[in-house]
Amino acid sequence: MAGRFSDNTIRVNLCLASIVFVGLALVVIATKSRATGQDVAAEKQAEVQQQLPPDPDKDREASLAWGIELYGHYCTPCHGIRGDGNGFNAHKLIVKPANHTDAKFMSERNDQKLFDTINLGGVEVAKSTLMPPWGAALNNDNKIKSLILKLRDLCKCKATKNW
Amino acid sequence: MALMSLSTKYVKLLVGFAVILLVMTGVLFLVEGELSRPWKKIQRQFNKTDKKLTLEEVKQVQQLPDGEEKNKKLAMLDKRLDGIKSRGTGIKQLWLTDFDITDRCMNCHAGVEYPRFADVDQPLTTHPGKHIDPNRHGVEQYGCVICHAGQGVALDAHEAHGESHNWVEPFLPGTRAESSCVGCHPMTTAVAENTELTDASVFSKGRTLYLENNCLGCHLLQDNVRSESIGPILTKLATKTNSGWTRNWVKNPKEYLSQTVMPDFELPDDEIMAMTGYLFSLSKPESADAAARSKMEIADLAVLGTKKLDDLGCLGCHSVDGKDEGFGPDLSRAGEKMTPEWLYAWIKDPKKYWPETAMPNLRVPDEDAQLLTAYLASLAKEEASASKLDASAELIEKGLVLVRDKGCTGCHKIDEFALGYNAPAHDGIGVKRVDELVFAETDIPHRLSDWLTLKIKNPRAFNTKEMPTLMPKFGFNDEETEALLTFLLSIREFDIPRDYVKVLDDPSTPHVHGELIVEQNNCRGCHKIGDSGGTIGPDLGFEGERVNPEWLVDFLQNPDKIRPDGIEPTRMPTFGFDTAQAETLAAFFAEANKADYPHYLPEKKEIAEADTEEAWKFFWQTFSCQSCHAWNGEGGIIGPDQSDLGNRLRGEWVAKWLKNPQAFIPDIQMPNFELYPDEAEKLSNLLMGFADVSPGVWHQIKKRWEDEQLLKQAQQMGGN
Repeated sequence: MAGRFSDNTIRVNLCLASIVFVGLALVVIATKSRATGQDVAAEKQAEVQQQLPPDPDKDREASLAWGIELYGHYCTPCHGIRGDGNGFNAHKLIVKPANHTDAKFMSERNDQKLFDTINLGGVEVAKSTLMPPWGAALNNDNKIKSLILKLRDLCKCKATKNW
Repeated sequence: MALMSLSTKYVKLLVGFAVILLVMTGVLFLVEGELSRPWKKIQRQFNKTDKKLTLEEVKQVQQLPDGEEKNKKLAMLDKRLDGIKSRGTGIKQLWLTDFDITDRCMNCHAGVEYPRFADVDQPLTTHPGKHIDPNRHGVEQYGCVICHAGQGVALDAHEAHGESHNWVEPFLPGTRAESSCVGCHPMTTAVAENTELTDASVFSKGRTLYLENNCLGCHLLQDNVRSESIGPILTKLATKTNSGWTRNWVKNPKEYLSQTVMPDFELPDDEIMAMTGYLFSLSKPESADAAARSKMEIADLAVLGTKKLDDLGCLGCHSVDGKDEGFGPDLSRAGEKMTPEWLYAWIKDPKKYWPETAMPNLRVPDEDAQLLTAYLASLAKEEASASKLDASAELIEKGLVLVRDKGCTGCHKIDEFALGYNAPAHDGIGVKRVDELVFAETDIPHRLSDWLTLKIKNPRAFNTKEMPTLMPKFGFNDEETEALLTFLLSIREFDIPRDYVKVLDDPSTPHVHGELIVEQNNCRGCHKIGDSGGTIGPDLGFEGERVNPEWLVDFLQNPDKIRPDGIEPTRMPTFGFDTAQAETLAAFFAEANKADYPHYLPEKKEIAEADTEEAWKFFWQTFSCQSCHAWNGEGGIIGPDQSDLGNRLRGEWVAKWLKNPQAFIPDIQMPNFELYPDEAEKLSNLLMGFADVSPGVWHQIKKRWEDEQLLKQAQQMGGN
C-alpha cells in the first residue's frame, strides 16, 4: 500500500512542496477568516446597538428620542399623550394615573425612585398595583433610563429630594 | 502455352494479392471506425480524467495526519484506481421496463453521478443540484430520458438530442428538464400561484408568471380554473371613470400603472375610440352625490387622508408612491381615473360593483369613507382629459365587434359577453409538432422551443395576412421568457405508471389549500404568516396554537375588533369567506403550529376552590389585570376583554403567553410579570372559565382590594 505512492522521489518532493504550499494557504485562510469573523461580530454588535437605546450619559439626544418612542407605545394609554394622566384608559381606573407634567409631584421623586417604579411596578414603591412592572418586558436598563429622560422632559423638573 | 500458363498464373497471383489487400484495407477501415466511435472516445477520456482526479485526491489525502481515517480513505482510493484500470470501454444501457424507455445517455455522460467531475466540461460533467440523489431520482432507477427527453437509444449526440428532423419529443437541456417534474408531481391552479415546486425554480417561476398574467384567460387548459378577479367588469364603466382616461389606458396601460398585468394590444387610435364608445354606451354616468363630495374642500385633506389610508390598513394592498408593487393597484393617480361617487360607493362595498373582486369590505364608517374619497379624488398628476366622445350608433356597433373579437373578454366581463377563450387551447403545447407551427417570415430554427421563445417575447412575430395574431404584448424579459417556455413545455401528456406519481402539493391538504386562500386574499399584505408578511395586522405565526379554531371560523366570517380603537385603529376587513374556506384556514393555521384540529375544549376541570381564590387575587390584586383588561364590563380598555377568553383562546397557550408575552410579540404592551408556571396555570384556568367562579368570592376580593387602594391614596393625600 505505502510502497505504491512513496517510492518515487519526485513525488516525495512534490508532496513536500505541496505540504508547504497548503500550510501557507491555511495560514492565509486562517488569518483572513479570523479577520472576517471579527468583522461579522462587530457588525452584529453595531446592529444590536442600533436596535437598543444608548446610555443616556453618553448620548442624551438619542436616548430621549427612544424615551419619546417608548413612552408613546407603553405609557400613553394611561398617562396620556400629553403625560397629564388622562390617557384613554385612565377613566377606567380606580386610582388616577400619575400626572407626569406636575413639576412639584415629579421633583419629589429622584431618578432611582422613577427607575424602580418603572422597573418593579407601583407596588414596590408603596403605590398602586395598577402600575405594572415593566422591567422584564422592556428587558433593558437603558430603555428605562430613556423613559426617565422623557419624564424629566415632560415635567421640566429635576429631583429636589433624595430618597 | 508455357508463357500463357505462366502469365495466367501471374495474373491469378496478382488478383489474389489484390483481393487480400482489399480485404485487409476493409478490415482496417472497420477496425479504425469501430475504435474511433464518439462514445468510445468519450469513455476513454472519462477513464483518463477519472484517473487524474483520483490521483489528485490521493495527494490531498496524503496531507492528512496519519490515522485510521487516512488509511481508510487511501484504501478506498486505491480500490477506485484498480476499478478505473480495469474499466475499459463498452456500451451500457438501461431498460426502464415500467416506462418502456431505453436509455444509453450515460455512455457519454459518464460523470453525472460523481461530484468530482463538477469542474470537468460536458459531456462528462456532474449533474447539478440534488435531482439525481440516489434517494430521489437515482440514475440507475430513472435514467435521463424521463426528465430530459430526447432519443435514449442513440449513441450519437446529434441524434440523441433530437436535433435530427421529425423527432417529436425534443431534448430538454438544463433547467428545461424541470418541465418534466409535473409528470409525476402534478400541480394545477388549485395550488397557490407562488408555490415553488421543490428544486424546480425555473419551472415554478414560469408557472407563477403564467398564472399572474392570466394566460388562462384566453387559453383553455384542462384541469385548470381561470381566475375571475383579474380584470374588472366593464359593464358600468361610465359610472366609474371618463372616456379620456380609458382611451389612454388601453393605448398604454403601463404608463398609468407600471406593474399592471393588462398587456399592450397595439390597437390603432380609431379602434380604441370605437371600443371606448361602445363600453361607455353600456351605462350612464351617475349624478353628483353630495355625500361623496362632502369632504373635498376641508383643510389638511392630504394629512388626514394619508393617516386614514394608514389607519384603515389600505396600504396592506395598495401603494400611493407610484411604485405600484402592491397586490392592488397604485393609488397615486386615483383622481385621474375614478369619480368621487364611484370611489365612495366602492370604499363602502367593493363587491357591489364587482362581485368577484379580491378587495374586501373594510366596513368603513361613512365619515371615513367621505374623507378617503375626497383624498383619493385629489390624487392626480394630470387634469382629467375632457375630450368628447363620438357616440354615433355606427361607432358603437364597430366598438362592439372589436370588443368581442380583440380578446378583451379573456379577462373582463362585459355585459352580453361572458368570459371567453380567445386563443388556441394550451393542452399538448409542450409537444406540439413543428409542422403545425407557422413560422411566417422569420428565420429562426424550425424547432418548438425556438418558436415558443419568439412567440412569448414578440407575440406578433408570426403575424400573417391569412392568420392575423390577436395576442397582445406582455413585455417579458429573457429570464421570464425562459421560465415561461419551461412551463409551456411542461404542458403535455405524460405516460407515467401510477406507482411513480407522487403529488407533492396536494390541494386537499390544509396547508396547500389554505395557502391558496391566503394568497388569493393577500392575507400577507397585513399579517406575517410563516416567513413573510406585513405588520399591519397581528403576526399569525402562532395563530394555530393560540386560538380556538371554532372561534376562528366564526371570526373569519364575521370579523370584529378585538382591541379598542385607541390601541389599534385598523380593522380586520370582511372577506366574505364561506364556512368551508374559514374551516380550511383554521386547519391551515393549526397545522402550521402542529396544534390539534378540530380542537375540543376540556370539560370543566376539577379545580380546588383555594386555587380559584388565589387566581382571583392574582387578577385583581397582585397583577391588577383589570388596569388594561375588562371583566364583565369592569376594567381597562387597552387589552382585549377577558370575559370571552375561554371561547377565543386555547388554555395551554394562555398559560404560555402569561409567562412571557414578549416571547410571542416582542413589543406587546403587556407587561411580563415573570409568573411561576403554577401561577400561570391557575390564572389561565380562571380566565379560560375552567373553574366555577362564585361571584361572591370575586366581589369580596375586588372590594377588599379597592378599599385598600383608596385607603392608600387617602393616606398619601393626608401625608402630603
